[in-house]
Amino acid sequence: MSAKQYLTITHYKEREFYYLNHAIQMNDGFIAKEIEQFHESEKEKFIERIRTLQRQYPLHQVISISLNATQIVKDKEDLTQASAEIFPNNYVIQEKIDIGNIPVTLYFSPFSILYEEYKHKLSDKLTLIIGLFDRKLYIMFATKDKIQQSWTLGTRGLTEKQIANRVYKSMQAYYKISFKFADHIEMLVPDDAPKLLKVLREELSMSILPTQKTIHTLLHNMGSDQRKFTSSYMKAAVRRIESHENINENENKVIDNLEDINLNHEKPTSFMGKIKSIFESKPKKEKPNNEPQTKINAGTLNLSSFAPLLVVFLAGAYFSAQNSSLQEKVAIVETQNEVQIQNSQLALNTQRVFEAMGKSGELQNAIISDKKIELKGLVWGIEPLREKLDALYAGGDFSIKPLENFMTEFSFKSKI
Amino acid sequence: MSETLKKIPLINKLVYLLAIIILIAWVVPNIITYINNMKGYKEHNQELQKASSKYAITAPTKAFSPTVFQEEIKPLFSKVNITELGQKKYEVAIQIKKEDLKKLKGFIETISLRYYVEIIQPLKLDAKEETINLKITLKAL
Repeated sequence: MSAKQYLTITHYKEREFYYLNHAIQMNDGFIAKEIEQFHESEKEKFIERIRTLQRQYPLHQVISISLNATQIVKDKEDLTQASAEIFPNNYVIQEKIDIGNIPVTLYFSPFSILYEEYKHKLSDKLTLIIGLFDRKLYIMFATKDKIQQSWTLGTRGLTEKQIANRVYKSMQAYYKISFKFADHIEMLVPDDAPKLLKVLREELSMSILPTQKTIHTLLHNMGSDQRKFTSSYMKAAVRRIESHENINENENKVIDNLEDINLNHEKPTSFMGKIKSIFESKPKKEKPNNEPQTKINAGTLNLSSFAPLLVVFLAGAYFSAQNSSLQEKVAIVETQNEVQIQNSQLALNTQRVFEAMGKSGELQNAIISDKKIELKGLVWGIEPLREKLDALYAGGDFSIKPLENFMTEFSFKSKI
Repeated sequence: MSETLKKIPLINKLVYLLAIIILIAWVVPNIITYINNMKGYKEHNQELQKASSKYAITAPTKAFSPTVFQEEIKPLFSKVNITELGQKKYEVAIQIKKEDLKKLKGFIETISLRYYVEIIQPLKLDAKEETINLKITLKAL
């Protein structure tokens, strides 16, 4: 297994299953591997398998088919809708491309595939080409220079006879507008469908040349050569408007692939989806001619990206340091304020004690705080001193003791 | 915007995410704490300045130094003696005349505005005739 081999990865969804296949493209054809099948509940596993193949083979195309029933071939390109060119005056148009988050680089319409399969058989005579894909018939009337008309018919729930009847009515409808019947019918079926062919032959009374090829085979074939898909793959509406402004960029059209379109237009529906999408790196773009891809720094670390982290760290460290020193300052001024209030009260108490003494006594010892006092001294006017101290410290213990020298000692202790 | 983000390599996005987490979890709370601290500091400082202006103190509060303190309060009192008790505590013995009691009141009221000190209460006074001996325990902040 060589990583330099060119790989085509093909997938499509039919009913509730995804079908995946890959093939190694050689100069004389391709070697397809086994088809893998994933239930739609295993979508993530399916996508991861594609991603793994993409990683294993840098030279690759991821190809899928549009099984939309509303697509139609028109003469003019509609820039507001998704489209693929078949001829300069023939475009397959469908409203939009809806591939979800599944990787796709080339997306083809069954009409483009049918044209690619039968273009070498087309002539001036009208050919009815029918393709059966996913229970839908893609029908077109073609000549060598134009797809004249196209239809899509659903076959779900219909019998082979009903299907054949509808094809016949389509032919009649075309005859009414062009007065032409198809010269012969080519039919492309992915699976063996003998009964349908038989009924069609009977109903239309025409010979039908069946070709049996799987969708994977058809898609591998579409992706095998750049010349086949350069113009024929389907492009999204907005992208087309942009590219239309610069027609000369045709050579670079290959890089204008659906994965770009998908990322441009697919919007995550939920908040978590949006978050998730932010963490999805922009996929690698493939160069024309399948040159080795250039990695878009998916795994490289840009040093400048550390700048915000550094700024955040510096800011955090700065404010952290500032906080440490500021907290110390705050603690000091807070204590200073409390101490100042206590000191003021202490100074006031001291002053009041001396004022209370006045001429009634003389202080000898004192223990003074902002909440309580203990005093001892001599007293001459017992009652005035008692009253004054009691006014300051109500309920305090005032006691007197006569001394031998006819003096009287007092002591006062405030109530705690 | 979303497209621009998608173009950024995954590892760079992880670095940015880490920066955002650190910003929210560490830097922003630090800034909020800083703002609150600054607000508290300003408020307490304003209170102190208000008290200082009441006593006409213009000089900023100083760190307590026993030598400088002794020199500065000497003119106020008859005697001043400072003894270091350890653990940033000092016993200040002051002798003051009874007639200078107002100076004592002013001294007690303003000591914490002039120096980063706390008075460990209570005050102990011994009065003898015309003088008062006072012992105050101070703790440097």
